[in-house]
Amino acid sequence: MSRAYWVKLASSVSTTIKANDKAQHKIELDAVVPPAEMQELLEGALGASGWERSAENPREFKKNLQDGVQLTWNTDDNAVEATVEASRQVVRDVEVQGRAYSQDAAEVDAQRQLVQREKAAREEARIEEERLQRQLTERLEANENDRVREINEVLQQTYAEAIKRKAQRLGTVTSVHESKQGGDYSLTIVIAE
Amino acid sequence: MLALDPLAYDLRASLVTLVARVLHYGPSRTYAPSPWPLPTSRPDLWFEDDVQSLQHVLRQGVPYAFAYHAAGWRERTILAGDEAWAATPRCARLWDFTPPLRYSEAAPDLALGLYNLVARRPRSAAGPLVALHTPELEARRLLDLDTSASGDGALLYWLATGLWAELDPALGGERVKGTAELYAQTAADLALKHPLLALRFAPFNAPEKPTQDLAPILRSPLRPWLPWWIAHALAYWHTRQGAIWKAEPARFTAIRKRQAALLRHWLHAATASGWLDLIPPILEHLAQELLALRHLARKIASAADPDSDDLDPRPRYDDPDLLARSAVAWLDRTFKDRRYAERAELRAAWAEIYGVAAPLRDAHALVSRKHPVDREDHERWFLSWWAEVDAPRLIDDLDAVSRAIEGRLG
Repeated sequence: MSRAYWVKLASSVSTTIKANDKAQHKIELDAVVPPAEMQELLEGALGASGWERSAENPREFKKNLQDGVQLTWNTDDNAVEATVEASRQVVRDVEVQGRAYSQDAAEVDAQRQLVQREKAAREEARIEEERLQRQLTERLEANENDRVREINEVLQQTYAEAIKRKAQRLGTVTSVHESKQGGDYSLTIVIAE
Repeated sequence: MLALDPLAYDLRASLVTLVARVLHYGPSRTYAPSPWPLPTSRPDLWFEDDVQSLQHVLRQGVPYAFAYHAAGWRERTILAGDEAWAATPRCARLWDFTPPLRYSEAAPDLALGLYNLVARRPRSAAGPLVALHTPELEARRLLDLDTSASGDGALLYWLATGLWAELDPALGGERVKGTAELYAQTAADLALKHPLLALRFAPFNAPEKPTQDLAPILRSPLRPWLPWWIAHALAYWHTRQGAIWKAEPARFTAIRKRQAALLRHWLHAATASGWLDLIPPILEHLAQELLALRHLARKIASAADPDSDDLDPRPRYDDPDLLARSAVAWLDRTFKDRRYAERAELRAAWAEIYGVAAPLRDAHALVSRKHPVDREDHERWFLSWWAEVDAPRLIDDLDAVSRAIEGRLG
């Protein structure tokens, strides 16, 4: 009379899934005042707008936005990089049972099933990684208006200061009027020759 | 040289027929004159009539190919010394000005080898002759040929570009199999030897060579023909990239970057050497690019499906910002499954080419600063052409579109 053997095997598939994305904005800074002075004004405007100078590279300024997007303004090549990244540990417990009329055959059956289930678990992790990647890309897309606003704010301050300095060199400034209404900024400078 | 030594080479009547057909009507891969393969060795018999016929076909056929395949009936301005002439390739004055094209002894082998490499083999083809003309052997022979005579380059261009109509390496390696793949590789190697072919194929075939030097062509006897040639090569770019970009965005990005690098190099060469007659075909190509973008924007606005034939009739697509926004929105929709960084790279590559004409403003300023009395004939022509096509506005529009698609701020 033959006996049936059941063999149970269990394992755990643990994968770290990582995703990242980035966007780059090139900045064209017109030289209202000499270029070196424009750079100085730009760095001043960045500091005033809450950008922090990087400890590793003094020509880089960083700012974190609320949705996890980090902006890096490199004043050497005047490009702003928006990066977003995330990583997560995905753990799947796998348990299988092999059956056969000999212990060896039952173990082989269990091993075969275990390999299949582990493969399926890794595939699930890959799909999870794709989903995470899509989420980050969507977050970066949704963030576009916010970061363009951040960049424009810095540029606006830089140009405003540059124009004021330029005006001082053209003659005696008799009045300066600045106003902000909604998204519109206006600057009126009157110079006496 | 063939022209000097007519009996040095034996030719069969089929070769004359083939070359005439290829140059005059455009070749077809399915056209297989009998017998096949065509002979590429030197047989024992000489036929003087055939040699003379071939000489006639080459002399007449190459200019005809210009006129027929490269819109050569269109009048273009060419520079003859400091003079600016209006000419077509069939214009007697141009022929007086251009040194006659010479063909080397290898010219017939070139025609036959290219044909044998590409032609569909009849099922019944067998025997020792066929074994001697396998595509691999033909490819090797072609690359070993010394085709350095002035006419050889022109002949090669028209033969190769015609035959390529069906076996196009620009369609992508994965779609070019077997003989076609071998042909594509051979043609790419030939293009490295012949700058004229490089004009047309470089962006598609030579990733390791982002710029092709125009200098060898500017020095060659083919120089007066360049305005037509450049236009022909650029028209090819325009049609080819349309077939690639949606299916293979990464390849499109690489091709587009090489195109921008080449155009920048050519424009620089044209302005630096004073060959201002080379600028119109390049600017026309850029205008065509802008027109294609407008067309795309109108389609998107009307049907949300760029493959549809419906066009938005509203005349508002002169605004570069609107054009760019529309194009970017469509691109984002088309490639929504890709990472933002990949899409941004595609946008940048797409945009780059629109901005290459900006340095022409400096070239124009340089000429216009000269006192009218001191201006050469061709400089006067350049200034009047510039005003006639409203080049400043076109360059401004191109620049604005380029900046907006790439998303530059400032």
